[in-house]
Amino acid sequence: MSAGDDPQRFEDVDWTELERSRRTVTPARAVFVAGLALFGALLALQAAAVVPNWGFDHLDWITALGALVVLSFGVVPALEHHALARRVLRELLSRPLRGAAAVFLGVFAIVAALGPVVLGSPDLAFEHRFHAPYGFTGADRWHAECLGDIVEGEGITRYCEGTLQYPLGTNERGHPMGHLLVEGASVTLTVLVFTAAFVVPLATAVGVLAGVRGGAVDDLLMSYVDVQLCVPAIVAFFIGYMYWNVSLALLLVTFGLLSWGGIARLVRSETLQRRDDGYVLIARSLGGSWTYVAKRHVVPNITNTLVPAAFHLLALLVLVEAGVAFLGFHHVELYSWGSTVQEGLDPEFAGIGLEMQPHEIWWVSTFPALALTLTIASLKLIGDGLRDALDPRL
Amino acid sequence: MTDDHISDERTSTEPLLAVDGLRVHVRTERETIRAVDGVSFELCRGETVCLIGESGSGKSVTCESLTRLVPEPPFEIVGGCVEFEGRDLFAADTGRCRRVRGDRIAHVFQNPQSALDPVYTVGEQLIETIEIHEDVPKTNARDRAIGLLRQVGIPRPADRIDDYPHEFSGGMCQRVAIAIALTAEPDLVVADEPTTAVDVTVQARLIELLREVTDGGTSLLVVTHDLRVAAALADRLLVMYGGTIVERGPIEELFERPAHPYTQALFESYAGRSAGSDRTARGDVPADGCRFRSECPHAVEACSDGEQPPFYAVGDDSDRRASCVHYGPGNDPGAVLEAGATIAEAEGSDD
Amino acid sequence: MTERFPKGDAEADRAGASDTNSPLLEVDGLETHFPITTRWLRREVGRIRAVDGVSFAIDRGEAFGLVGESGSGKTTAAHSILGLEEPTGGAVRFDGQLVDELTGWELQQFRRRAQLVVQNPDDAFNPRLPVGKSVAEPLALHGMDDEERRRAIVADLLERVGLEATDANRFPHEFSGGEKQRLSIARALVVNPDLIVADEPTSALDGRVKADVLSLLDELRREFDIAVLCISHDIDVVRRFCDRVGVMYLGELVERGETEAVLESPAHPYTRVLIGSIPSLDPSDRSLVRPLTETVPAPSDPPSGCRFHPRCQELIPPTASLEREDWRAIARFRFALQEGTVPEPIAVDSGTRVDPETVRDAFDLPTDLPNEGIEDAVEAATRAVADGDLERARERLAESLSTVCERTQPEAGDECEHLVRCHRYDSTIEAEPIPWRG
Repeated sequence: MSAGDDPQRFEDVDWTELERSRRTVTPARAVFVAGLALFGALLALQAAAVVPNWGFDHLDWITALGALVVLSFGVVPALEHHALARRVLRELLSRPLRGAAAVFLGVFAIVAALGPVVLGSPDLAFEHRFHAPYGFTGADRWHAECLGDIVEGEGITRYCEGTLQYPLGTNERGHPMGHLLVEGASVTLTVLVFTAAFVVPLATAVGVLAGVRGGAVDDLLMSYVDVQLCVPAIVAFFIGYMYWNVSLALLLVTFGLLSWGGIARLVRSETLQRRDDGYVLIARSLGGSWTYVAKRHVVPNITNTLVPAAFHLLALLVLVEAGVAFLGFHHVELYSWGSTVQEGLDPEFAGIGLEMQPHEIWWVSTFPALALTLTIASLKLIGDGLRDALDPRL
Repeated sequence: MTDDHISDERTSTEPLLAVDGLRVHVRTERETIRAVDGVSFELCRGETVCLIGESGSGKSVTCESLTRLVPEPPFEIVGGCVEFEGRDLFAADTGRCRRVRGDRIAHVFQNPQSALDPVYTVGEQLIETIEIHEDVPKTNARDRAIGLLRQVGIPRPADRIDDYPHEFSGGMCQRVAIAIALTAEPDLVVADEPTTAVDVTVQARLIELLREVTDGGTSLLVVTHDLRVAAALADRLLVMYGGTIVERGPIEELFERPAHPYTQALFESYAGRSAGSDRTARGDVPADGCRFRSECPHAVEACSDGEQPPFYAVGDDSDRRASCVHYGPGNDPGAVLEAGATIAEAEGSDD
Repeated sequence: MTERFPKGDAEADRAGASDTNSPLLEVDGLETHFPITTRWLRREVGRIRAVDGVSFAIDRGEAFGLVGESGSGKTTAAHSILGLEEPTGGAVRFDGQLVDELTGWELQQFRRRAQLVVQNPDDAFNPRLPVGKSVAEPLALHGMDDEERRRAIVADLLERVGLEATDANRFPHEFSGGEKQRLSIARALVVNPDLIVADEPTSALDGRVKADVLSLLDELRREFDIAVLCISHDIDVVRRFCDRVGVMYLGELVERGETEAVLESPAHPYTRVLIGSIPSLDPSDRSLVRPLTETVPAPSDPPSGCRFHPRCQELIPPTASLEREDWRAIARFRFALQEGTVPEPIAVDSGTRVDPETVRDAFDLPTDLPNEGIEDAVEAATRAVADGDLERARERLAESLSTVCERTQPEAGDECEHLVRCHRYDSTIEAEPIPWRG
């Protein structure tokens, strides 16, 4: 052991050379700022009306911003810590049910993001309304034109067979069900992106801040959360509904911003348990700031509680959106799964003048309901799966 | 109560508790760990025996297996028998085992705060235990509970009986736990590290209390890692290492001249020497032969043969036994014993 | 020379910052009080005096032990020194500089040069990080951005603390308690500190593992000339490891001196109780020392004067004419009444009466005391207790049995290098130290 400067021995480190680095430019921040700049440019384009008849509405902007947040603070860090990300993904895919859920959500996300762009808005085709899915038959009198073979039934009843032009059938406006499912997925994805980008981080930040800082900050934040938990989001939504146009944005803002109190409370209590742990003490004694401690030590250690709770919230808000749409409080041009289910269950209202039972047009309600169920179940499965995959002890 | 006449007939030389070849395994997904691997010992009436060993030596599992308190699974009692007053506890059906567990053998655990249920007052917990064992009216049970609290040295027991566990200090909680253990006037109290979680001045009082308990004729089996606690309480000592007992004997002789190389190493760690730190952090205990041989300064080839060596008498004393080949027939234990005497001397000078 | 540093002005101390003769760490009258607040508006209604005027100094390369029981404030003292708790008073100087005045690079250097080893190995490491990252965390926080270099340093260090370089990729739950404590030491060592504050470094370990970890820490400190502040409730640890030791009771340092001197011939009555409570390794000696009374006062409401006085076997009597045993019995009687720990035969609730003789018997109170005032007071108090009027008894006893120990706070004694905060070592008070039985 020479007294020389072996850079690989701790006692030979020259501490005067090393300044505490303050990295302000991280890949995540860089991506975020670049994205914001792009948005700025797009906004300027829209304002200058360079491209005629083109523009984003509020919802598009919110979704795009949410997607940017998810991309820069979710996807980019995951790529940075690719070893961890790979391990988590491998763990997730190793269990059949959770693997299936992950694949389903992956396909769902791609379809929901790209589908509406590729397919455009569904066209009205009343002549093809209530076509049965391929391999099934429906009453022929419902639509003007039967695309498939006609089957003679008892008496004057005639049935129309489904064709591959509408493999999943059509609804009362002749919208292809497959197209409607894609549209509904897009709405659902908007809900998910908004929640994941704004609601969950807000809840986590408030909970961690209250837990870590304690004292008056804790009192104040938790009193606010208590108050917020007392305000039913649906009432706020209806009040907003009275004054503004009905829109998905209103739903997201009211439900999203009023429903995170529970998670904040959970996060706070978990944080309180962590803040006196040895590694937190050590990090603080080394001069680590509270932000550093929260990011490096607290948040990774509360994922056991936070991840399932966050995914539960995602599933809940997807269900709420569908529920509100089912009740009819949705924008007409947004083909939410909830509103499609409702149309399928209430044919007398939807298919004016026609006498039919809901089970006779089962495909209108069943397919979106199935999609909704699968999505929610997948979210729950992935929540639990991620929790386990993130924990090295399991 | 119905079993009383049986015990009366027995002679006092009959051991109260006899453990023979106890084996307990822990089954995990990956492997099976032999936590207790052939433990045999006896315990007489009114006697205090200390089971000493480091964490992981299997001492707590041994104690909890006596009354099948170990959770099965992951634990599994795979062999051996435990006789209490000559009756096989493992052969007996679980109902009977449970009765013996509560009535005749009582447990006291390491962490007093967690041994008591925080949502009930100590009085409720004591009275509940009393009512399980005896058919007494509520008011009598309460008087009895107050009496028990007084017996274990809780000041103003009549006032404090309605307090909740969190209103008691750690030492006081341990006293309450001992009171609960004493409700059925057990023949044997098994105390697992009863003083580890408390301060040294509180530990001194608990040691005195445990001495009082044994003065009343109750036998005591104390599990501890602390030689000092053993020195203060025990009549006899059982030294445990790697799931087996490696040495046993009366306390005074064992402290004067530890015989087994492991016992010597344990004493050495109290002697305040910095030497011997070349021991690696990860010492694997071999699964056959003498469990200590990989760390033993006196290890010879014979150590790796067969199972853990049988107990050989140490010196002329019939009570002293060490599970070490050096004490076997035809071997000269002189050098090993000498090392023990030197260590004991060095450690003794500390006081 | 009791104080190792003169209580001079701060300027002079700062001037001597680079003077290697000044101690590495000086703690002067450190106070850390925690407010007890109401739920509403956080109004302060009281204070927990966790650390209340603690002074000591640690030289370079020296191991100083701080012993005491739970609640004595030793961990809070350690945290206050490192700035993890905000001290409410006193001064902490590191290398001659006041720690709470440090800023910028100097503060960063202090945070590098003073490292902490926490008590519980099970929560010492972030369970989500491989231990290599945890051990390298101090390097990263102190500006070593080169990840390869960090990894190399950690690998080298792990081998030097008795582990393997490949262990860096494993997670905390894969290690035993002893191994985790070695990792803890490695993490403290990795930034080449001058001071390690070790909070109960071995309390979660037992037997030979404990001895191993302790000797590892000892070897490293000698090799790199690191001062260690070792917080422990375990006298064996302090005996083996520390050069000097301070004994804390209810937030105060009651005795301080060379380890050998303090442990072999403890001077303060509390130290004597502490050491006398440890069972001897000689099974034939089973005596254990008892304090006068058992109840430990709350740090929010510590006793006046000497904080140990209600539990002190060596309490100074109001008059020298009393026999020591008689005085102890009377004092025990008095403090038992104060605490309300009255033995059973005496009814606490007023109304029921007992015979004054029963009271005397219950407390083993002496009769025919040489001092009439005390005899009268004891008599009156006994009768008051018999009548069930504890308040009157308390007052009567407090009036006549007032001792210097409850009236004034003891100053540090003036024995060389050996601080004892006890009136018996104060030459102005007529009470001699009682020799230690040994």
